[in-house]
Amino acid sequence: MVINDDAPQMQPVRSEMGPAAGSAFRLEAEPNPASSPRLTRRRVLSQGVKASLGVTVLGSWLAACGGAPASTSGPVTIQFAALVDTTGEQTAEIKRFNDLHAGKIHVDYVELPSVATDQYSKFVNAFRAQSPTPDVVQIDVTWPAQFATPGWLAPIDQYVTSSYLNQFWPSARTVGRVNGHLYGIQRYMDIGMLYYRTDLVEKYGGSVPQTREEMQALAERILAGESSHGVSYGYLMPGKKIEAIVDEWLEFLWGAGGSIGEPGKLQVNGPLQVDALQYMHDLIYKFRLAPTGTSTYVPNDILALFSQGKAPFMRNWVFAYAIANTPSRSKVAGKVGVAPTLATSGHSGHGCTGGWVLAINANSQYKDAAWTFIDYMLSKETQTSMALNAGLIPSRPDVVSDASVQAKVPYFKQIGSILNSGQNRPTLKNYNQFTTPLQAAINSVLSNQASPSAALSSVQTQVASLT
Amino acid sequence: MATIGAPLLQTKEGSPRGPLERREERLAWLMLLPVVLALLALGVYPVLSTLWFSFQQGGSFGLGTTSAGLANYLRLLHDDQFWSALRFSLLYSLVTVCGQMICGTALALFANRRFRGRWLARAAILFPWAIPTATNSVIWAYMFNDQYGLVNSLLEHLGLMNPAHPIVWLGSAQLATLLIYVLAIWKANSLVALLVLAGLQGIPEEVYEAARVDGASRWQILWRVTLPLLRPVLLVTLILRTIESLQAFDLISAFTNGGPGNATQNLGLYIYLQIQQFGDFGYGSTIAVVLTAITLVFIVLYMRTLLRTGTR
Amino acid sequence: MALAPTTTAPATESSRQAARPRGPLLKLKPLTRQTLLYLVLAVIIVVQFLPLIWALLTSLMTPQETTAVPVPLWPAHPTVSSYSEALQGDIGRYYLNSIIASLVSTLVTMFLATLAAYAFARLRFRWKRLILLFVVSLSLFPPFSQVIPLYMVLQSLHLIGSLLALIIPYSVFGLPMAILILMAFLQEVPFEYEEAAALDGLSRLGAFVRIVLPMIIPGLFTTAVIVFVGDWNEYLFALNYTTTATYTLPVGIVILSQTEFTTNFGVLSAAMVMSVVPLVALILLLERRIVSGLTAGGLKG
Repeated sequence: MVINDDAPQMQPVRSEMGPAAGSAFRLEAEPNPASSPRLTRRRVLSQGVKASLGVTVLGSWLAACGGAPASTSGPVTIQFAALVDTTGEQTAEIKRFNDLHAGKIHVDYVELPSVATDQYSKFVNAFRAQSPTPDVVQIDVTWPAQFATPGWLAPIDQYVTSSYLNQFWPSARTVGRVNGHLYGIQRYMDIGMLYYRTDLVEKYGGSVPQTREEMQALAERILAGESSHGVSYGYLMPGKKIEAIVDEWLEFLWGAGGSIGEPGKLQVNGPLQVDALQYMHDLIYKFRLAPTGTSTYVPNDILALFSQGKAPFMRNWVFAYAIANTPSRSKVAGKVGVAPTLATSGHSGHGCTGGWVLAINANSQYKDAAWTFIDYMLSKETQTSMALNAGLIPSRPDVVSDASVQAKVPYFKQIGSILNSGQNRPTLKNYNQFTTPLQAAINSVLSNQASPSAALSSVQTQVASLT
Repeated sequence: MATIGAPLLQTKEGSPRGPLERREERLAWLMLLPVVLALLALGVYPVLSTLWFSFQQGGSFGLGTTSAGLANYLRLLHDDQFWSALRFSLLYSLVTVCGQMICGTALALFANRRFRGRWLARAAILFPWAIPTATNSVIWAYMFNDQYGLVNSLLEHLGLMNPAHPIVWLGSAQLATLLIYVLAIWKANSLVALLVLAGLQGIPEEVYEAARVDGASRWQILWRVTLPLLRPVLLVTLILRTIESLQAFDLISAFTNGGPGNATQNLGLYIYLQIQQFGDFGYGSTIAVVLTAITLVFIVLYMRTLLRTGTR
Repeated sequence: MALAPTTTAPATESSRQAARPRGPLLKLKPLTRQTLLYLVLAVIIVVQFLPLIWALLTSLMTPQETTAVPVPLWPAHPTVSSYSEALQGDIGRYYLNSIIASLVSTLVTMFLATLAAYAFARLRFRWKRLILLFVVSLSLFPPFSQVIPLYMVLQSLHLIGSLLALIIPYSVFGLPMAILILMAFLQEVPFEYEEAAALDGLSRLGAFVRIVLPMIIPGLFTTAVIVFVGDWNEYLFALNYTTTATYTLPVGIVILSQTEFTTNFGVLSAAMVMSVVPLVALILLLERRIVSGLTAGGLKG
């Protein structure tokens, strides 16, 4: 906001909308440096006092400077809210779209803090207040059910045909399906993977481990042989009280052929469930392959250890790949491979899927323009650019399998099969009520404060009937 | 002396009589009006809405709720997580507010001395409190990371820790709780110190002179002169610290997120969980109302104490 | 702990400001006492500044160094890349937003709170306790229960996403605390001063402005600092009621330093240093210039 000696200047961002579009108006710094903010104490005080006097004064002030409804001929401006992207790729994509649709549609990028719970709060606030903005939202894969059930997202069935949908990975096109309607399509994929040191696995004669036992045996051999070379741990996993530990537990469960059942009759304390958690506990306290500090680690922490060559194996998300293979940030660059997460013998590993979904605010006044933008973001061209410049996994198999893309991102050769074996977390409108007690239970086991069966049983009654 | 105006709590209420008193009353209302209006305009609705929701249930994020009567309050009785969060909050408040009051007052007394380099002491007072709480907690969590944290690195360099067995500072309930206490005291003793320092500056030098003439020792001056004169400031500091400590959120959420398990989950985190994450406005608001009531009890107790000791 | 050192001279301004400790009451020799004093100062500085020192060092490290095991105690290859990264982001805008939001709300809060605090502390009127209880009780409700109702209010005023969406709540929600603090400082002022003023023919308001206010300038300044820093560091409202153009520093630091899975401790530290050091320096400077100057003037007059 600028407090000039002149009347405060407001720029209607969505010029075609009247003053009723509350969130549309932003007081912005005047871009022209010639009229840079002049802040005198007296001025600020008088404006501030005015501002605090209450609704009436405020209302009239705003009406005075909010401006009359502007002409309706200008371009439609839509807001796209998504977490911050430090690579600059997202901004570039939006700029290309704006150039492409100059004069018709303009996309405003609202960057959100990357803390998922912060984004969640901001979305809930806007949706709950029936705000028409943001128009396009990028939401976590566990959110479509949470946001679509109360009617906060607009169905996009009318925009998509089945052949259009078939361009995407199966989980990318089903993740937005809630109560028979489609509410969003995934923009980029994420999945839990087993990271391994290609050099160490080769040196100690093993093939890439697929089962818990194979990993253990190999890790112990490597640990014995390489401890003088800085390898201090066998297996790294996140363990702090965050979403990732639920996903990791699900992966151990799925890899043993188990499942937590369907919404409405979820089961988290069956024998396989307890066994999966027991195994995570044993990795730390019995086999001593994982660090004792595991219960305090987020994915970033274990990546730091892995990048310094402290361990041959790590369970982590996709983001770790690019960093672990960047020579300036990693001592093991070029020696990192990925594989499906661990299974028990006779079963296969299933990574837990993640990633972000594009959807439309149910109260958006420009749903068609919003879809045009989503369509652009999901196009082969944009997704190719995203894969190459931001290191994210496109939701389109045709980009992942593209030879020219694979030449630049070699691990895309393996990621296809890993993604195909991936599994989604349960689609629950009360997902947070499911994951929060589980996070606490799993974390209390990993910090050696509770037994797996007791911890999971205490959660069972809370989550059993969630839908 | 008491005719013009006595300390707040000793003032007799009741309608003033003469024209002078009526003018005084008019002036008082004029001075209060903006504040009362501002609070009515903005502060009252959220509070009423919280109270109302505490008698509602169901729905999602406060939409489509139905009347619950006292069901939410009864639910509290059987909610183990509520009781453990309540216990954590009360202990946290007790320990950290005491710590802050003691450390902060000591800091202020020190910084009030005149010596070369005093500005360093003042900067030292300001600094911890000037960092955004959440950022501060991230830095502390970084410092206490068992692998790449400063503290373990220092211990290792000093030969006090075997790097093969790093100390996992935030991995056990006891250590994590202790560190939260330390962090909270460190973070907010500044606020106490600032207030006490300003209070000390308001004490006229003559008072100390008189005490010294009477032959009082420094210790006696501290207990018999300085602290009693600081009583209003100390009371208000105590009240403010109590309110904030009972509502603490940023500090803990960015440090341990309530872990390990739920060992460091306080009422602030639990309310956040219910309201912002679960969308259970009914139950979250109920806990908020209970927390408010508890805070109010504390404050009334403090004020009573002041009232009794204040009228010597 | 120690008291202010003794002076035999009368308590004039010059002796208040003198930096010469003269203490006949001491049992220790002056030199030992000095050493002790600076020893305490050193301990205080280390304890209070440790995270800042560590943030300074971290901000000069390479990303790899910041998470090395064990972490180096000194940057081997000092680099300012974290600072340039933070500056490349929008830290300038976050700064400006923080300054405007905090400054305006502090001024509003202080103006309103000073008036109200004087009424509560000094004037007699009906329903005083009731009104005070009303004011204080509004600060007792945990902020989380208020975020969404307040969002609805601000939305209906079309303010979400503007800086006013921060300025207005900050100004109002800072009131109870500011009033309580100011009341405490006002209670320290002896009533005799106002009695004297009344005899001199000053009105109550005149006595308040010309006699009482100058006497509590350290208190006013401290209250303003507390209110200002509180607004400066506020996260909850700043997160929920803002958008890209109006993010303040606490939210901005998160945006600059964290991605979905990674935390860049170098940038985090650099942003923190850039947020805190100017703030503390400014407060100290103002304290020296304004408070001591005005206090001296006020007491003389």
